[in-house]
Formats: sequence, structure tokens, C-alpha cells
Amino acid sequence: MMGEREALTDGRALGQALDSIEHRAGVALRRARLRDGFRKGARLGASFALVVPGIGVVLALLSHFEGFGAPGLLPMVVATVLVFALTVLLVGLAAGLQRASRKGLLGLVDDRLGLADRLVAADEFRALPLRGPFHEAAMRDATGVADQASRASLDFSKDTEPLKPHIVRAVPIAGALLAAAVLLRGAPTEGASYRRQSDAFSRVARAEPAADDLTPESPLAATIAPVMAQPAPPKAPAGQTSGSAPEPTDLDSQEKPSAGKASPGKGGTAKGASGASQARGAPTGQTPEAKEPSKPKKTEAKRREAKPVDAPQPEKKTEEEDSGSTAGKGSSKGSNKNPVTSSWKSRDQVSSDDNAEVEDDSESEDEDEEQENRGGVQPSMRDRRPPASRDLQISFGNRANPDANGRGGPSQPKKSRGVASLVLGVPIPDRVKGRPGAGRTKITQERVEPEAEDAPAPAIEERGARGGPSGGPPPLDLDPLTRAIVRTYFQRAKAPARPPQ
Amino acid sequence: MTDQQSAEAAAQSFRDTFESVRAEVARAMVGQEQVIRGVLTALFAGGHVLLEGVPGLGKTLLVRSLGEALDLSFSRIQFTPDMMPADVSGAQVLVDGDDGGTKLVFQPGPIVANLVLADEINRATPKTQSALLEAMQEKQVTAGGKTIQLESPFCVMATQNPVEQEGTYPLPEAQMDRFLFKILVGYPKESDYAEILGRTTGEEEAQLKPVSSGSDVVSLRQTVRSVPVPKAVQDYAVRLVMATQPGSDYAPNLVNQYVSLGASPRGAQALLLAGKVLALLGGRFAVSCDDVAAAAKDALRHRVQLSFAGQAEGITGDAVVAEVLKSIDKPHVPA
Repeated sequence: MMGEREALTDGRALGQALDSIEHRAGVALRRARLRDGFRKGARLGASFALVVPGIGVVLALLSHFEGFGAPGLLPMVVATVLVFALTVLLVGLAAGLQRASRKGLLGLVDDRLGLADRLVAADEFRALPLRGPFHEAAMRDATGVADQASRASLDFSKDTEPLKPHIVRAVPIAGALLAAAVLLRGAPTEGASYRRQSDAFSRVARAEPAADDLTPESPLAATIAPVMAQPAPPKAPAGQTSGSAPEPTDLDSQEKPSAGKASPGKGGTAKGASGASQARGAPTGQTPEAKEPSKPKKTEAKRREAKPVDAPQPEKKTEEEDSGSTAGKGSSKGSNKNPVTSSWKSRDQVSSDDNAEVEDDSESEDEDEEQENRGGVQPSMRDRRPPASRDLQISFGNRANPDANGRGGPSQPKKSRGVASLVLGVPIPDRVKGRPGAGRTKITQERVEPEAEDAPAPAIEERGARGGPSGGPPPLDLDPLTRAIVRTYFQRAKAPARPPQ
Repeated sequence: MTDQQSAEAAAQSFRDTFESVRAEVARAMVGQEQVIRGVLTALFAGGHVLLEGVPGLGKTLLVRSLGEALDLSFSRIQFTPDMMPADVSGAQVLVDGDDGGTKLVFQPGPIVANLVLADEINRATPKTQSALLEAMQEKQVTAGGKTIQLESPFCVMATQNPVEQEGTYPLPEAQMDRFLFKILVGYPKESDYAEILGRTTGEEEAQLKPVSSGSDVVSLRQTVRSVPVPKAVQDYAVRLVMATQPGSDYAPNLVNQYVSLGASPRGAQALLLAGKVLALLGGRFAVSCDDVAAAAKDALRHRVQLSFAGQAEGITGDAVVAEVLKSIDKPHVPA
């Protein structure tokens, strides 16, 4: 009875202590979360606030080149500060408004003070209707540490990252961006200077209408003005101009205004493009503009030299070459260089006229060019060999597989299809496994009893004399000469009959 | 004496006994404090222990010393590939009767003892290994149509060599699961070598005296089971076990990638029982999450079966448990 009263007293005292700890922990956690939230918000805000000066710089640039209106310094500074403040406020409040349960708060105190979940356990045991001796002992144990916990200072702040570097970095960057925006805004804009220049040109054109044949209506004057308006005209796409000028090599035609989609100012460029496009169709009509010294053009030119459009088709490869390139000689590309070749050919191999051959040609051309770039024909080095094909089949249905020769790779020994344990570097436990659950072995045994058959014996009188010879032929005791004659006779007699000539 | 005082007295008695047994065993076994502590924890939690280590580290000495310190009957079974189940559990043999005739009498095998050292258990065939299953779980042996209840406390301490795996039979999952702890026995520290050499190459051998008894162990096991577990700690143990199971809600990436089989509910039982012992040793009356986490490696490392990819990548059970401990937070503590 005494013990129960004591436990009850302890339980009440413990409950009050736990309530106090929960309250203190709640306040401390909220404060810590607010503090962490504001710090996190300040870091985020320092980054977000840079967006406003950045936008200011972009607007100032647009204003500089295009003549748009740009915001002033004060609005940008206000917006920057506002973004920073809003970010800090929102993130901080979002973190600080989170609530934790009583168990969570007590668990946090346990965790921070190293109490090994004594408070959480005691709080749970306190609510039990029936408690055992260990429950009571745990509560008594917790009562002592609860006093200690209620006096300890609680700081749940987890954010230990210093805030200063973020702010210190962000402020000068924002200042520099704002200064740049202001400077760009104050500088004379290029759009205005262009407008002034354009006006001056038009005044000159109006003042000297008879100078040479350069009238405002003339095509050349119409060409000059847009060229000035667009200092960097974009390159006209080839498709737009390919059909516009049928004879671009004529130099006189350069001065003619371009027709079609191309603007007058783009005439020169468009002509060059059209010339190039035409040159692709007919090599004889190539213009100097069409001869681009770039590498792809060179490859194309090389291909055109090898296969002109009007030239006759290259001779088909002979049957032997086809066989060598697809079977028994390794890969199609390196078959001639491969010393291990074979004349074996599968019946499945059917030479087909498809694009694969063309692709092979282009590949080989690229390879030739690459070898030229390297300074001549390179030896067949290991790193330049094509990767070993794992395809053991020598054909894809009716089409020949150029990379397979039935040996599992070009000029390599046949790949073994081993298990992964054969691959070095894959550690396999070196042990003999048992056979757990190997299953049953079904043995079917059939026992058949011998049965007698009733068959009447034939009567002795029904048996006739033996018709044929019995046993082997008796040894012929002949002299050697007769024996040879007999042997020759039988050999001739048993010789297979020859077909009639 | 109130219930509360009796609980405190029982806890104090537990700590005293544990410490005295540990000190007595340490007289024979130099160093390996963590191993001795782990073996005693498993013994008082009522479980069996699998000791893994290379030869010569004192595994057999540890178990024998424990038997002497606790005054328990001790038997050793050296497992070999040609051993049969009857060699473990016992068999019926023909003996001369009083009337001049013969009769079948059950001859109990070495399994009938308090402490059984199953040396190199993975050298026996699975059939023989399975003879231990019933003894370890049900604490009884059935042979020749007769079932014998094993005397309590009954504890199997098996050893296996992690290096020489050729010709061995890895323990089946059902048997691995029955070991409460798998303890890795490492090499002794440099400072322990002098003491080891002095004790083992000198004239005198350490004579251990019993400091406790089998009945004490049984009552202390009851004390351990009385320790309550808060709901939050139980949830933590469950989440730890579930985190070892690939595809579960708590499984980290490492588990999903490299584990083929996770721990069973026996793993959670092992965590809580070991946590209870650790709580008592820590002077507390309820299990904490820290106790569960401290027991996690010994209790879970052998219950995690790695996939082929995991074995090929060199992932170990310890690495999996460490990842699980890192990924699972205490459920009641807010982030």
C-alpha cells in the first residue's frame, strides 16, 4: 500500500516534470526551427536576390541595343531587398510553424542529453493501466533524470553552417550587377546612334539625287540600306535559295536583285549557297564559292569522285570477293588485311543489293582518310581492330552478317560460352554446395512374370528334308591353281554390275 | 521489499553475475572483450551463438571456459563430412539386459548438455546440421521414436572458419536464423600477445572456478525477459529488420540492389532480447533505441543473404547492417 502511494506520488511528480520538459522543449524547438529557418531563408534569399539585379542588367542591355526602356536604380534596389526579405520570412515561418508531438519532444530531449530514451519510456509506462516492477523501476529511474533534464539548457538548433560567407558573397555581386545595370542604362544606346546614322543617310540621299546613277530607287541603294540596318545578317538557308538562281556562276547576275524568298540584301550569300547546292547536282558547274575547304566537303567531293552521278555503277564484286568479305575473313572492313582468311562460304550467304554496301564504302573511305591524316597506312594494331563480335551466326536470315564469320569474332579464337565464374575478377565463393532439396528420383520398376505359351509341337512326319545348305561351305581342299581360278570366278560374280556404256 | 526494489535488485544481481562470469572467463581468455561480452549477452538472452574466426583465436577455449565458469555440462562435437545425425542426437543401441538377453537402450548424443560446442559446423552435411534444428529451437531431441527434453539452460555455440570454404556446406538459412548472434572473432591486439604467450607457454594453466550455476542463468534469463520495451523502441527494431528486406518501405538502395533475402521476425526478436540485456547492463530498466542499434550487427549480419551481385561486389552483411542503421532514424524523434 505504501509502495503504491509512493509510486503514485512519483508518477505525478514525474508527470509534472515531463510536462515541464515538454513545454521547455517545445519552446526551444520552435525557436531553433525559426532560427534555422531564417538562416536557411537568408542563404536562399541571398541567392534569389541576385536574380533582380541580373534581370536589371539584361533589361539595361536590351535598352542599350534595342532602345527599350530600363528600370531605374531605386526600383531595382527595392525589389532586391524585397525578394531577400520575403524569402527569409517565408522559409523561416514555414520551418517555425511545424509542430512536434509530446513523444517527439521528449525523444528529442532524450537524444540531446544522452538519456537513452528514459523520458519516452517513462511517459509511456506512466499511461499504462497495469505496470510491472520494471515499469515502476523505469519510471523511478526517469524521475531522477527528468529533474536533471528540466534544468538543462536545451538547444535543438542543427544549422551550424556559417551564414556570413553567403551574405558577404551575395552583397558585392548584387552591387556589381546593379552598378552595371546603371552604367549600361546611362551610356548612349546603339539603337539611337543607328537611328541618327540612318537619318543622316536618308538626308544625303535626298540632297544628292543626281549623283552618279545612285538614285534612291536604284537597286543598289535599296541594297545598302538594309545592310546597314542589319550589321550581322544571318546566313540564308540553302533550301530557300537553291531553286532561285539557275546559273549562279555568271558574275553579272550577282548584281541582279534576287528573286524569291531571299531579301535583296542577302543576294550575295544566297547566291553562294545556291551555287553550292547546284554543284552537288552537277560537278561541272561548280563555282569558286562552292569549293569550301572544310573536311566534310572534302569527303563528299571524294565520294563524288569515286561515284559520280552520271558515271556508270561500279562493277559488282565477284563471288569470291563477296565470300571473302563476309565469311571466313573476319570483318568486312579488315578482310583484306587479315592474314587468316578462309574460302569457306555458307549456303545462307546471299549477296544483296542494299544500302549496307554503300555504308561500308563510306566507312572505308573515312578510314582511308583517317589513315592519311595519321600519315599513311597504319599497321593493324590491337587498339584499332574492330571489337570482337559475339555473334556466332554468319548471316541474318538472307542477309550476310559482315561482322560474323562463325568463329565468334574477327580473326580471333572462338569465344567460349562460359559462365560468369570463368571471368577473372568475379570472386566466387570457393566452396562445394550441398544439394538441399534436390528433389525426388522416380524409379519405375516393372516386374513381369514369365508365362508359358501353349504351342503344339509339329508331328515328326510333317517335317520335310532340309532344303538349303546348312552351315558354312565346307573347306575346299584345292590346289593353288584351282583355288585362284575359283577365287577369280567368285570375285567376278560378286562384283557390282557396271552400268551399260 | 516492493516490486520496484525487487526489480532493481534483480537488475543489480544480473549485472553482478554477468560481470563475475565475464571476469572469470577473462582469466583464461586474454583480450577479446567484445567477443566475451557478446557470447554472454546471447547466453543470458537465451539464444545460440555462431562464432566465426580463423583457427587459433580461442573460440573453443572461450566456450569451454564459459562452461567451467558457469558450472554447466559441456560437450564438444567436431563436425566432419561423414558425420551422421545420430552422432549428434544419439541412437538406440543394443545392450545386455539383466535377464541375459539384449534390449534397445537410447544412448544420448553429445547434444544433450548445457553448453554444446559445435566445432566447424559447416563441415558436416546439411542432413547432420539439421539434427541441431530441433534442439536449438524446441530444446528437445527426437531419436528412435523418443523425445528428450534438453536441460535448461541449453546453448549451442558453433564455430566456423571463414577462410577454408572448400569442402564445406554453408549453413542453411533455417539454421542460420536460429542463431541469436553471429560474432566475428578477430585477431588479438598487440598488447594481448604477451599475456597470451605468458599464460599458454608457462608452467601453470589458469584453473577456473564456477562463479554461477545453470539455475542462476535460468533465473537471470527470466529477469532479462521482464525488461519492458517502449513502443517507439519496438517500432525502431521492426523498421531495422524490415529495412534489411529488399523491396520493403524502409529498405535503402544498397539492400534493394545487393540483398536477396532479409531478416525474418526472429531478427526482431533477437534485437529486442539482446537490447534487454544491454539495457540491464547499462543500468536501465527499459530498452532504448541505442541498445537495439548496438545489438544490430551481431543480430542481423547472418540473417542477410546477399545476392550474386552483392557477393561479386564484395558487399558484406556488416556493410548492409551499417547502411540500414544509417538510413533508419529513431521513429519518435522529429527530424
